[in-house]
Amino acid sequence: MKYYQYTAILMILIGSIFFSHAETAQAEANEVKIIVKHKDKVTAASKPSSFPVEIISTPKEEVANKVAALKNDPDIEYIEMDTKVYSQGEIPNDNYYDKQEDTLEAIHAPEGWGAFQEKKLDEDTVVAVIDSGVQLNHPDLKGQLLEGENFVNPDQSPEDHYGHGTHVAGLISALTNNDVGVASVSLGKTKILPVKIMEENEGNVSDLIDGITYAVEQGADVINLSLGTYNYKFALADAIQYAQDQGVLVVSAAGNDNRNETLYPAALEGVLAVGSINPETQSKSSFSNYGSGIDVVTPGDGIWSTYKENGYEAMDGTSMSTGHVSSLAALLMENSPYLTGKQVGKLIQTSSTKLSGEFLLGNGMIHAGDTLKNVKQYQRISGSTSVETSVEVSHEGWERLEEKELTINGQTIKGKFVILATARDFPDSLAASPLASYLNSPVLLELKKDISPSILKELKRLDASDVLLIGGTNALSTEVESSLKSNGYNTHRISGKDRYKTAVAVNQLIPFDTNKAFIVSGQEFPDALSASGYSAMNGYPVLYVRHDRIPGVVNDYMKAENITKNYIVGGSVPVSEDVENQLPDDNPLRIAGDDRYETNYQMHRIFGNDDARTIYFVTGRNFPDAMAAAPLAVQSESPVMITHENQKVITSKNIQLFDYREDYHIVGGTVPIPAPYAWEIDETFYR
Amino acid sequence: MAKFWSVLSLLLLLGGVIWWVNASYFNHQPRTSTETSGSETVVSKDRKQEVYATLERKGTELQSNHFEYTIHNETAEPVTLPFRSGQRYEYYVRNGKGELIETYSKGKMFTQEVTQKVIDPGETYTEKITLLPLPPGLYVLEVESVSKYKNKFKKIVKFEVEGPKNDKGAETT
Repeated sequence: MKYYQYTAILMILIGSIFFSHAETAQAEANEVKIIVKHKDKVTAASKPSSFPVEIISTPKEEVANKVAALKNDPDIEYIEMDTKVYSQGEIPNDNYYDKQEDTLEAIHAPEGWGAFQEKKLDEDTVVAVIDSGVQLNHPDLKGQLLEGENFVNPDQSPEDHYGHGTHVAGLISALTNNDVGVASVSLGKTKILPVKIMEENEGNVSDLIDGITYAVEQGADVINLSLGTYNYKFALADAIQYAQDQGVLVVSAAGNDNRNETLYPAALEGVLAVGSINPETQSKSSFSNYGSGIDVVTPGDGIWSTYKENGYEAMDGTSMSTGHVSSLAALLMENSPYLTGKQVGKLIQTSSTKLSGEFLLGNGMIHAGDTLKNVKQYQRISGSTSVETSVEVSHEGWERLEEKELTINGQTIKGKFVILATARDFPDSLAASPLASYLNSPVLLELKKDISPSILKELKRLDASDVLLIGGTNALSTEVESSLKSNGYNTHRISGKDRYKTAVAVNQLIPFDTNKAFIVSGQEFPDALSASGYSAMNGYPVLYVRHDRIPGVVNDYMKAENITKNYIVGGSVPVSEDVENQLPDDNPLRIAGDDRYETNYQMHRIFGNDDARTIYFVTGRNFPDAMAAAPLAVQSESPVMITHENQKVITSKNIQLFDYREDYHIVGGTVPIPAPYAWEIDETFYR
Repeated sequence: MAKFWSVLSLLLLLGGVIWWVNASYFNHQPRTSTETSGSETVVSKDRKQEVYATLERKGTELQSNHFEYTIHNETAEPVTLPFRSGQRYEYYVRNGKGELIETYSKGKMFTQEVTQKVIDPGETYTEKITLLPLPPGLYVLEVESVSKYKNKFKKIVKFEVEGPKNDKGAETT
């Protein structure tokens, strides 16, 4: 063969390799991986790495149907979409990035990108830019723009002849890591809906109202308003309210007049009002408005972005800061599509960094990294295991311990007590909550044979003197006890030969002054969890019985303590009618629902503190988190609600019992209560 | 011949008087910033220079309420007007009874960008103002710059909107 023939064959070979790779990449790009976790013995203590999971590849267009089918499968614990992970150290290659670096570093955008996991795969997040239009063929906005509308000249496209709208659009969703132009906080993951209401620098409020209505109708998730006026208009307030009612987040500029005032619509309720800061001086931009109307700030001086006529320009103003916030909101929505607009606004605000200085600047500088991380952490008290969660609960509720007196085996001990129980099995631990509540002590949970360093650290922080170990050596090993002793703590083991005797032994430590007692199953934990908080609040002991009989030790206790009034918690399956007939109370009150969640609801309905301001949510599928939460909730006479993502109706009903609720906490990690469900609880809580 | 020279002298005298009156009336008088907010005087070594504003009605046809608000820089240095938003000026229209009937910014939104306008020596900066159609009658238009410059350059003009015939306006300050 001649030279050119060899060359041709070589080219064909190289070409075929290239195209086969390209085809594979194309196929991968069109497929979405779904992570499926089948039901097994999931506990709050389980490590995610120990979960058996299945990865299912599905064509992009079939994702919605596949997800719906999987959600209906009762054998599936949960499903999650596979995500792209962005390295925190990775810096976009856009050639203006060096001009943007200070700004993007100041708002921790790279940290946000590191935490970002793209989950909104079926449809795009849409940010409406209601402004002077957008340059429709800007190279750094290619493919980013929806059709939009021109309200100044309705028969024309929303082309920007001024530059401001194009600048804001680039801040929100300029293509990122595309070698040219600027990067955006959203990494260019969101679509822009150009809504032109200004030919240049000014527009009519009436057009703005039309623009807002149009943006909502077009399905905008965020409305960016880098504009404003000091004149209040009822119609504008109504339009904003309409957008918010439809779940849209409205982000607006606070104004550039260096006044202790906020422009409208930024000043309207629920609108995220954005001021500017100068990162070089770490103080308010000279022009930025300030005061109580400001929600957050971002850099607003010399901000680079796209500009008309394929250009890039640096601009100043709260307009620019507003673009950053809308872009972060879009990134968050791509990361967590289940969040409502209001929740996105709340997360951005609560994750911001407060600023010191003479000017009030709301929650301070936005923090992209913390905003994304807090999706899972918001209002949550949790650690990586149930042991760590119990330590976190202790942190939350006890700055220090009060000195208390406790009589054990006839000997009165004065000290600062902490309760230690096992997180492994419930029978030996269930009695821990009432005792902890009585002593106003945290319940720390141990899983291992040896004491966990985090427990020792927490005991030291609390300056505890005495540790009460609940249960026998099967529950908490002798190694744990000796470790505690060698670390200088007095230990007292409270145990009986079985769970019933242990529970009675614990009750005997508490000087109840009552003739009433809760009767719960000692064979299942859920109803005991419902009773434990109200045991401490009402001063009634919790007595554990078998399904079919009352253990002798419990009968003896009731006689000795003159218990004559009984509240049975749970239905006739956990506590039979035979047991009911054997109780000293001829007419005991049975508090029960169809399941543990209904029973929990009934307990709150009957015993709940109507004035409770805080609600604690825990999983109803396992006991450790609830056990740790109960003494904390008792401090403020707050209810502990057991819940699960398939128990939304009863959870909502449960929440509505407490009209004065202001605040909530979720105790436990994202395995027992996944983030999407936690945010559904949030939505229901504030509804 | 003497009659010819007498008539010529009289004509020249009359011409001079008319020119003087005309120049006195129509030309801008040098003013200090204490005299009016519409202009300011910068005193240099060899001559007086000023930055001042004018407001002129441009519309001549019925209902054509067009005005031009111009800031003139007649100093030797560039003048920078810093703006804190898309709004460059404010105006107020009052009717013959002094009642405020229109404010430029009312019902308007402005971009929240910080910009500036530099007027080079000898140059001007003009904003065209178009009022909404007004019924016949006497009106006063008051315009001022909203830049953060030390002078607001407030200008007021009285004008009349007439019926089908014509209308006229005159600058008063």
